[in-house]
Amino acid sequence: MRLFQPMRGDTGGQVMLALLLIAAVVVPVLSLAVPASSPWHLSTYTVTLLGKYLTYALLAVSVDLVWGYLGILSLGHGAFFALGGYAMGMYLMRQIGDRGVYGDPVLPDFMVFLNWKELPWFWHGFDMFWFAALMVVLVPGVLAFVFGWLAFRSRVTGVYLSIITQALTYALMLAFFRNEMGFGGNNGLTDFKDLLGFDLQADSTRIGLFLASALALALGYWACRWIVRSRLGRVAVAIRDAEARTRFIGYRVDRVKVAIWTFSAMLAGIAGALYVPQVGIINPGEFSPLSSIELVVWVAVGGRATLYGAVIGAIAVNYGKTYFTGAFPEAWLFALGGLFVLVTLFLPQGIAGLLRQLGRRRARDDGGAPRPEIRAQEAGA
Amino acid sequence: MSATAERAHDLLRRDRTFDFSSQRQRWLAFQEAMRRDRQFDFMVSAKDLELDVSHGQILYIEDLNVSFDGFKAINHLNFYVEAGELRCVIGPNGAGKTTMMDIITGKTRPDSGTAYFGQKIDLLKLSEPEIAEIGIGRKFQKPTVFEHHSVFENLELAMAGDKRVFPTLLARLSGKQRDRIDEVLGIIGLEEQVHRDAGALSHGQKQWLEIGMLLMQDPHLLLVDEPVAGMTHQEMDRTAELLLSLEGRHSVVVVEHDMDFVRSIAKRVTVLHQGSVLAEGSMDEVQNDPRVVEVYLGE
Repeated sequence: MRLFQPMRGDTGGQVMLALLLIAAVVVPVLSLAVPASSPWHLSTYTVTLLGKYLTYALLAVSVDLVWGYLGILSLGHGAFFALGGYAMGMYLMRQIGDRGVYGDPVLPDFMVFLNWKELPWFWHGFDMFWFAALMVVLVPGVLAFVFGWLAFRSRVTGVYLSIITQALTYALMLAFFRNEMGFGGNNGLTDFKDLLGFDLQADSTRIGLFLASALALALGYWACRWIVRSRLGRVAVAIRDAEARTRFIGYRVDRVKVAIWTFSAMLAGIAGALYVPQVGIINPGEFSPLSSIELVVWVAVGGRATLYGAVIGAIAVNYGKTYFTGAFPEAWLFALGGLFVLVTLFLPQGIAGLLRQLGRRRARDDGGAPRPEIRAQEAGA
Repeated sequence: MSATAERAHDLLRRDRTFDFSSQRQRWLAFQEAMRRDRQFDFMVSAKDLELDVSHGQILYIEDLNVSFDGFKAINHLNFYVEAGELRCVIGPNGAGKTTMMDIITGKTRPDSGTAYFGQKIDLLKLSEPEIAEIGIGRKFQKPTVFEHHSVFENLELAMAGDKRVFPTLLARLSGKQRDRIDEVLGIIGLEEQVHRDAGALSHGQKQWLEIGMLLMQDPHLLLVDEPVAGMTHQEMDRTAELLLSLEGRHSVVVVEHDMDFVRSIAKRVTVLHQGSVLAEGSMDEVQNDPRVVEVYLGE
């Protein structure tokens, strides 16, 4: 089957997608069909939390695509995530209609509060879902394209590029903090009511959003695998390992980078759009450089250049964060920093690398020779 | 300047005033500008240049001069390579061997002189990637292969073809391309290592793989810089066989310090000294040339 082609030779990814499928069946059942008194019941809070993790996982996959396979360490991917989130937030704001505190049929509350008389031009169109959905990918995509075109054509690489991406997200944060920008200033966008006519507080909507996040993660993962397994994916790795050599044998390195970078930003935008209705708020804090760095830590913990490692990392670290910030609120940042140091020192391949090592050891203990790694070939298409 | 070129030049002059007084004159001017049978040099892309070796020579370097800060690295150099020939270039350090390679591949621009690829292609007008595209491949001293790719993938990536982003994304290996990879694998003798990571190869195998990557680009002329540096004797013998097997199908210029190696492959040897050709001929002729002996052994 052509559809399963990209997943061949990716045991970790197959397991991950299978678990995702199981979760997509089990979570709705446990939440809706099991009575609230049963210990097996999943609360709305948990479902939303899981959905949030899945959007983080998609974001981490998008980072792994550019970091693990193309060698671009982006410390500003949170910006694309937040822009996708803002596009969705604007749609949700327009859906509130006259149910806001001030009851204005068109203007969101914060604009009424600022004494604005009419909608800024860039808010037009966001009352339509298809338009907002388009902007979710287009805005991060265009920003990434312009940024990438400028940076990669000038051959900015390595730590310099990381610093520029960090500056990019920081600049956007400062801009979005300003009330005059028209995105709600430091309060951001919140108090959402419904999405496509479904009440955001309803359990069924939460389940729907969870399922949409799972689907987006599966499709995004599949698309990344497809790219990674194509010849373009091999060119990307070649660029990561020996950029000048790749240029020398005739590939336009800057264009390859711009293309994959832009695609990755679009994925991050989709993740952001699914994140916002689940957490119910988007504010400039999402642009903060710190959250972009945290995101890189997820990928490092999970294991670079495996894609499924990014999913593991995002979910594991965020579960840890949820637990720690509940149990020992002050300790979280220390735990995160310690985790990063530990992983760098003892697990350079991350959790995915550890799993692979265990798998290999077990294969050896079974007496069988370690299976030769079957290379991604284009054969048998 | 030919009559056509003169007319074209005239047409492109900025100060020229066209006679647009009548409909008829405008039409004539337009027709003149749009003539199909004329080709401007600057409109021809490197890809479309055709190699013309009808006179049997593939490389013509004439009266070439380069100096770096007053030091004459290349001094009135004349150097010709025949199509299909395997030529060795030797010479003491600073003789200008690497500089000559740099000029042929477009990395260095000479102060004066000409360098032609075949009869028609003026190398001095082309950029580095263009020169690579018209079929001059160069192997550098230090081998660089893609360490995390298998031998097969290294050759696949180097293969000549459409290297733009989307065609690369959708690329599938055709049977013919697969055959070509197998053929090159045979030439460089790495059939057994085909699925090994290039990073796991020995130094010599990496050198061969790199020559293979050059061959995948189907070059007419191969420039090989010190291929056996750091190799064992067995590896040297294999490399000699490999280079000899290319003779006839590709023109190969080998720059090498190791005299035993040069003796094992060379039919014609060029000795460079102080930026110009000191002697040229068979290995024996060259070795018995008193000037060469003097340069190599001192007085």
